[in-house]
Amino acid sequence: MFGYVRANKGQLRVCEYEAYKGIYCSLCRTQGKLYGPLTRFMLSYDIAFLAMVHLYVQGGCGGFPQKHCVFNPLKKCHYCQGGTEALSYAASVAMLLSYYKLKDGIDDSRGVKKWGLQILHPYYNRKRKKAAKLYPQAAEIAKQYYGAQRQAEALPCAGLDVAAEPTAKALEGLFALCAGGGEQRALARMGYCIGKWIYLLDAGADLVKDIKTGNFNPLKKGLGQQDPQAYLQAALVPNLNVCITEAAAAFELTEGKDFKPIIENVLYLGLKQTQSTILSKEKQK
Amino acid sequence: MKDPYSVLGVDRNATDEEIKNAYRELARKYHPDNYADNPLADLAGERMQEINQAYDQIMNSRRHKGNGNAYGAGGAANSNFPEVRTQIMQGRLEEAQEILDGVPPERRDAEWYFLNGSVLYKRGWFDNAFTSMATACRMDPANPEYRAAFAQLQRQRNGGFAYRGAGDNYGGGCSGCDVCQGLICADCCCECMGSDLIRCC
Repeated sequence: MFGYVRANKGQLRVCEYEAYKGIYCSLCRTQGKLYGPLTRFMLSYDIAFLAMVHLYVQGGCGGFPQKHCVFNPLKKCHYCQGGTEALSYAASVAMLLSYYKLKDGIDDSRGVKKWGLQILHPYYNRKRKKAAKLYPQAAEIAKQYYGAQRQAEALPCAGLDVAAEPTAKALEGLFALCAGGGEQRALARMGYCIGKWIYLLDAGADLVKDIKTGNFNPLKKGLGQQDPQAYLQAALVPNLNVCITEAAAAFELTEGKDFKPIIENVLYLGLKQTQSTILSKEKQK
Repeated sequence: MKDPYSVLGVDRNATDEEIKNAYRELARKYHPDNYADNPLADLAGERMQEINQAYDQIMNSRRHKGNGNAYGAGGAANSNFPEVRTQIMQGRLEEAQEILDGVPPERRDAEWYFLNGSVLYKRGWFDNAFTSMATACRMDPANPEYRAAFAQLQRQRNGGFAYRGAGDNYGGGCSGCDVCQGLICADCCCECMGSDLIRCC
């Protein structure tokens, strides 16, 4: 599975770990049902987190009975009983974001790779339209994000905050849509900070590669002649830490029940662990 | 109003000490300092008020004096930018930023950089907020308001959470020392009863 917004599995209780696995098994099943089996590969830990937050504020999960895996019938998985709305929303967001990621890939690539991606476009577009019918507000957020991200990265003064803004605003909107009522502001802030964290961590992970390929990276501006690893620790990690702290502070102002220990694990332990792992991989390059 | 015991997360039969501990734990979490310059400060303030009321209600009903906390309002006296401070307190960040951007560069003093940093922080522009706050502290190192806000931001950049330290062991669990301690206690209890759990102790 892809994605940065993961739990620190070693610190989850066994029942919590089973529930955590159950969420992405449930998402896998929902994604396949709504958008076809080939779209299951669009799922990520980040989408699973979105589904958990949705279930946390709105409720609806009635336990995790075991059933045969839709992918491997010889295996048994735990599937969420109920929670249809949260799973459907998360699967649809996965579909929308994957479509715009494909569009981005088509715009940025050339030659054979571009043709290969263009072949996928009609299929992805059909699925995007279906997701947009089910969740028009989410579709609008994803569309605005795609346009805004390209504009932000074209600005000559694009520092960290400017470059991260579209991703942050996108997740702000997508998280806010999970709220039924009074939780909206806190969820929006949490989504904003997590979105920003994801964008910046990705920039940190890609810094060395982007220097070689000449692709845009907001961290290139301040790098100069410094060692990339030292620069990341000084310039990037403090910003990542503030994003985590603010996301956690926003979460503390929400109320809910389901998945609270797992969400807390992600915010207080998982994000830091992923951050440290991803940026130390950078050291090895 | 909600049941005060459920607000503090304590049982109705909890002792005064347990109630005080529960109150302190929640107050550490929702203290206004943890949400200074945060756009959700008002939500945290409401939560803090609810906790204070619950605590006062319980302690008064048990005929103890309440231990209400008074929180000082933000903002400095004799501000050069009172309008900006008002806009910030009302959550009107775009208006506040517009006023700040309209100030010519030669009039941008330490307070300007501090207020600019506050607005940027609330908007989520943490990197630019840090630079602005750092400039404010450099221009006016003695100002306690700027120092406190900058220190809070530094703590967060170093990985500290609002009410947990950096690197807290969230998962809990017991160490080897806990296991040994437990066994020694069990052995002593057994010996008191006439048996022996660990023969060599």
